[in-house]
Amino acid sequence: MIMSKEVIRLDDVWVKYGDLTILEDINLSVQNLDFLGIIGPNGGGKTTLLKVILGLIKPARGKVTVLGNPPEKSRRFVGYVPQITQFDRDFPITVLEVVLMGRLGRKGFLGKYSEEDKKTAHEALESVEMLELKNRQVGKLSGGQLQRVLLARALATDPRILLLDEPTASIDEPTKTELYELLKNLNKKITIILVSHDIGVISSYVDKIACLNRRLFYHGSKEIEMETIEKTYQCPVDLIAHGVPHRVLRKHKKSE
Amino acid sequence: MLEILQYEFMRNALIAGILASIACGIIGALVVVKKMAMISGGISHAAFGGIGLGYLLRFDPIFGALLFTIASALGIGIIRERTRLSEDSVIGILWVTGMSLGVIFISLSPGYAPDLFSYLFGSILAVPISDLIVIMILDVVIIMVVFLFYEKFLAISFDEEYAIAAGIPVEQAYMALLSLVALTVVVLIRIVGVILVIAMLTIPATIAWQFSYKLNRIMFLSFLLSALFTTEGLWLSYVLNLASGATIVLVSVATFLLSFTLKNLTCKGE
Repeated sequence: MIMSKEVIRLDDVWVKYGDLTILEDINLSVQNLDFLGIIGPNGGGKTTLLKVILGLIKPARGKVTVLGNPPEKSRRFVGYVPQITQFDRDFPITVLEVVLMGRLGRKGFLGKYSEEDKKTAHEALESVEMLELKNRQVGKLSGGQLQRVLLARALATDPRILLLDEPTASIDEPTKTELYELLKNLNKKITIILVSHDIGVISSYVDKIACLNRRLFYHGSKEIEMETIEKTYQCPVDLIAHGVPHRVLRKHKKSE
Repeated sequence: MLEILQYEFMRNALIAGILASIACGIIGALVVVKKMAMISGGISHAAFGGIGLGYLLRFDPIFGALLFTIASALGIGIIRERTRLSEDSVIGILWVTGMSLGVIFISLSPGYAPDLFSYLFGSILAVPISDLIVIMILDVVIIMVVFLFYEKFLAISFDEEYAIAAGIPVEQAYMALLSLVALTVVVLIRIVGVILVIAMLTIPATIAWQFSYKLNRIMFLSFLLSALFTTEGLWLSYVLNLASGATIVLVSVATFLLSFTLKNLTCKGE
């Protein structure tokens, strides 16, 4: 079977909210089984970019192609892991019910889950080591646990592409490392795009990096030049060490 | 207490209360977890326009209410999906438009509107058999649709954006849910009236939510609570000679306050 290597393509994409330009002239090409990290400051348009790829936000200009089709047509093949901050902690739903949501997109008119759906959901929970808590209310989970559940929900869709929005925002360092190891493993079969404002751990796991602050500065490999990061963050930064981890420190911050 | 059941209107009222509680429990739970209380308020007040139209054109006002609730439910859904207007403001506008139309229609109708008050504040004691049948049919429709779409309703209530991203037909599901709210509003207008509908949709489900984190259990529990409140309220209103709709609502509110206090006391005790 001849399969196009390119799974996501954005050409000259602009997104505006009223008069405010959120994304400007974005050009991006993601190849099959890439692990792309997109970093940039808060408010730089990272979440917006993911939503454009999901077809949740229509660009004012430009063309978006996902798996050769418009994004709305390809949703079934894209697993989305949103930021965990947006949930009502009291909502009456269990872990398993959340993960089963991932199967709902492939149902037709009716939403009844089959045995296969349940099996897939259980496997997804197993793969993130959360099966034991399947009957717990999601509001009772810790940040790291909820993050895993949302990842399991995305995996339950059997995705070809996985989009993660700030997956490490509210979890501690050891859990972060576990999560990245898990993603690294998934990357053998799934193309992954991960956005984060935290360029700490990200660079040691991803194989390509782009910097986003309204405009996208894309790099074929993860060797970023100082100049690009400074352009993205629009402030001077120090990149400590050549290996891992990198740290960003603002120079103009009053420090010791 | 049992001697009041010798009257046919009391038996009918009791049956009406229990039948309405089925719709009220199921849809109330969805209204509360999806935070649609204000939308429901808007839809129920819009119904008053239809009631007025019924008076003006001399057809059964309850069908006018049905027409206006469905139209406003779909209207809110379409405006929400297709425009950038604030949903909150749209609901406010709809709310007052329905009420104003109702007032104008009724003032244009010749003669006196005898049971106008019963539409505003409920008239569970005057429910005819034909209304019991209508309520029963609406119950069946609501149970069937919620059974078929339960997973989708749960998904769009929990995380609507993910639901869209996952390819779930969110717009249709939301429209279906709004239409069910409209049907439930029509059922409840009979019991507590246009102005108090929002109480029956929110109070039983809010109490039930404190005791469960499974949506289907919250639905069942709010059905039980709602049946209890209508029965209790009905009896109290008979004994104390008070307005039935308002008594039912106040019984609900009192129970809510009690359960809230008890729940918080026990939580602190842990």
